[in-house]
Amino acid sequence: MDSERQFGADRRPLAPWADPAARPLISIRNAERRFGAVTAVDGVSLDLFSGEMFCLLGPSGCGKTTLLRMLAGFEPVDAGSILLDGVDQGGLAPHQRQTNMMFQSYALFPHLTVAANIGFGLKQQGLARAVIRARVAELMALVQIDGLAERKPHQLSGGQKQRVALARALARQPKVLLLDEPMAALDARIRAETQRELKQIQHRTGATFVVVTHDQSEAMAMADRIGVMQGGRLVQVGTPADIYERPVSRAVARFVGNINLFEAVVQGETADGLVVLACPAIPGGLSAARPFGQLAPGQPVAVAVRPERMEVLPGRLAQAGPNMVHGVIGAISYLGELTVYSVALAGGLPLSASAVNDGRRAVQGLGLNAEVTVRIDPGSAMVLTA
Amino acid sequence: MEHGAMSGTPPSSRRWDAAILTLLFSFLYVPILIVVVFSFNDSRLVTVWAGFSTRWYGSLLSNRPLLDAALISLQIGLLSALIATVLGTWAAIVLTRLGPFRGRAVLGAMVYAPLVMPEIITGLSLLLLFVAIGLDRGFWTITLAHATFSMCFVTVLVQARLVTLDRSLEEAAQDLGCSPSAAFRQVTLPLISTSVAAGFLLALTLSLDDLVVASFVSGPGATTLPMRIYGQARLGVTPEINAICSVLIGLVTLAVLAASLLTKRDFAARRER
Repeated sequence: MDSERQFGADRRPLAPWADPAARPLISIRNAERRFGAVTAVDGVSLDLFSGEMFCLLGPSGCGKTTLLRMLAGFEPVDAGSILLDGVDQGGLAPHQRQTNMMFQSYALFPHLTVAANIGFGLKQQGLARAVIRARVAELMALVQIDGLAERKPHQLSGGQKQRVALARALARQPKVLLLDEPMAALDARIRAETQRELKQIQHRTGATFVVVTHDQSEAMAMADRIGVMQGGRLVQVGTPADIYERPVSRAVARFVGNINLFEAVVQGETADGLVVLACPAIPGGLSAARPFGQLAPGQPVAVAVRPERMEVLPGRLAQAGPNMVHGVIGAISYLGELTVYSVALAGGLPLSASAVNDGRRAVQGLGLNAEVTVRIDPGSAMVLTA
Repeated sequence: MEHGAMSGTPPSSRRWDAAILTLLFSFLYVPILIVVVFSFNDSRLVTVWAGFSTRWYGSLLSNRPLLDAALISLQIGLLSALIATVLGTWAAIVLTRLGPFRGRAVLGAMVYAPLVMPEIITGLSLLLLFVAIGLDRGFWTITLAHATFSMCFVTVLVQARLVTLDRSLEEAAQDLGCSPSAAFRQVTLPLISTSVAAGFLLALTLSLDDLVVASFVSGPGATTLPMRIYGQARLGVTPEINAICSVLIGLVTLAVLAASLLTKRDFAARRER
């Protein structure tokens, strides 16, 4: 898109979260929100930096929307604090904050035109009508809805409504834009394109975007960093690659992407930094990459392997050593770019492995009920202690 | 037989339906029609037709007591409808918006109670109240009484609209820089305005045709139009009464039509969304 050329390259600093000297834009410190006996947000601490796209990811009811509403000022902070630019937001009502929110329902004012909706926040600032008109035109160009100025919300398509909501939320140039499930109401067909555009708009405005989503592929596609929430707690914060390659727990591993989990017991370590494990599902034994924490021999752990990090080889290979296991193909799902094999292991345990259909290596002998040997890449097998 | 079942109701049953409907609407509207027709009767005798005339409408204009009563009714109607609309809308907002609080369910049910309360009881209890607090009965007691019982109609109407409103609309307004009261003025009020207007018109018509409650709480010098008409009718129905009743029927019909048109247009606009 030519807009990118026009506005130049990515203005964000590279990974400010990795720089101990960087000053966060938002500091959430042990924030808590209780509804009666339920603690919806439970001791969340998080630093957000200027210009980053942060996705709060979690299943419904995990507290992610409540946390977003606490940032907007719609929910009080029962314990802990939220600081924006070093200023405690505690006593500030929503209309006194430098955040703006894009609502899941879009919440467009049905009695106002598109232009009046977008200019609503500017009108509250008491700006001159000509200034508002110019700014609204600029915003409409930014989200590519020129020509719709005089429409009413009920005359718009879902995608157009979403753009109006985005433009309206950006109008006051907030330091932080809060987006509650921005793609939820869109067709799957236009979702991917809209994700790309949203990211571009974020680069061009330079604002910090905090996006709440339950869709892990959406979070992976858009986020600079992802915060995974479960049961009101922030269980892991990291780049999409961190979350995918180094999940902190079984729960995170299961929630993000597809995964095979094996229960195992630590036996020892090799000189080249691999952990040797005894694993009932894999009789030949398993070696996996060392995690950050300490492991003790005899410690029960889980080993997680992504389907694409396994290789399915035809036939029962006689020299099935460590990281090799025999099985029978129980189901084959052809997904176009991938083929996913469901393999039943000798012990009856199911395992899922995928292969890229790159056309160069059409493997023979991988039909239904075929005997196969699955090889697990040691470097990609993750040891999970939680 | 099977053919009949396919096409719905058999013809004989449809004839019955038509007959019952005719009977029903006759019961409802023939008496009203008689009043209107005989208001154009040239004869002084109400039940004897003597040709078309509008002279009773002309003589209405010189019937001082009737005109005074009409003026009082109109004043009471407008004022009580205004009070009822403000208070009723307020109550509707509190009941829908302020979330769960102690006694909310009881209050919600209590709003509907006056809708089915016999007017005699409303009138009597208000009379006792006004006597107890020593309020002189007259214009103001009727106004207060009418505002009291029509308020709950407004509440029910506005509440029905409010529950369909997306709660995040007001939040969005606040997020964009409105104080809670500014958000109400700029977003909520315009969106419920048709229901509020419909409530006002309904309250106005309820006040205009109330006889029972007004009779209980009125005092000397405050005679509403229905009271005057009832008083005169007891001495004998005159063609003039037919005429003023026809005017009243016209006014009430207009107000009710306007109210239902407002709500209907509102519903249609929402369905489009």
